[in-house]
Amino acid sequence: MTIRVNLDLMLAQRRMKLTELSERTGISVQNLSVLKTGKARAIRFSTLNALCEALDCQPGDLIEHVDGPQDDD
Amino acid sequence: MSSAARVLDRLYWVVWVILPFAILETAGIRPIDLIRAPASISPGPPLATPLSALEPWGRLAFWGRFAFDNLVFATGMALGHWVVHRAAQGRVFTADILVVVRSMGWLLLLAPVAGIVFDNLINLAFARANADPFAPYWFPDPILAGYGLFLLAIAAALKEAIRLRQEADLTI
Repeated sequence: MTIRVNLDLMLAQRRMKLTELSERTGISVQNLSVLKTGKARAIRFSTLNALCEALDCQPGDLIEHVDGPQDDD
Repeated sequence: MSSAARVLDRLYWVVWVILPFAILETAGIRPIDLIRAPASISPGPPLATPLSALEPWGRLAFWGRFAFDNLVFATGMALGHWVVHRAAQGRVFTADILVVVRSMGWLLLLAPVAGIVFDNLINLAFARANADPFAPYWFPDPILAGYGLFLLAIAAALKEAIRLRQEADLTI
């Protein structure tokens, strides 16, 4: 089971750059990069809320469950 | 935590300064004698049987024990100081600190076992010098071993703390 963060997809759809998203949400570019590359272990509701507001989307647009190899925890 | 660790880091340097004097005291040597009359130094407290009465291997075992104890103590102190120094820099939950704390634990746990070998050799040497029966003993220093186990337990807790820290760092 894998949870995929579709941040790059949403950024492309909204024609937004990472730096602009960082300014709008107050989340650092490094942290957004961690999310984008799938290295994040968890996401706070406050972060999800900020991203959904900035990208004008629902949480389901940003994260999806994908069948696949088990994550190492 | 950093400010307390910085104070501890400075106090450690005071301990390092005192250490040579403590070692000399243990050996029964006054520091002033090293300067005034080094030829007259007779290391060690007055013994019922002087070291000169022991066979060479006995004297070697005696001074080997002395050197071994100080080496273990100095190594433990150096490792401990390194941990405190890293803590003073704010870098506590790292894998290398875990390795060092675990090493300290094993050092304190295994050093008493090696000490038994030295102590029995020394006892044998004194027994032969005094024509006494040799009475071996097999129990390592439980206090040192206890501290070693305590440090290994701290290392286990530190491992979990590092894992939680990594999880927190990757929680966006």
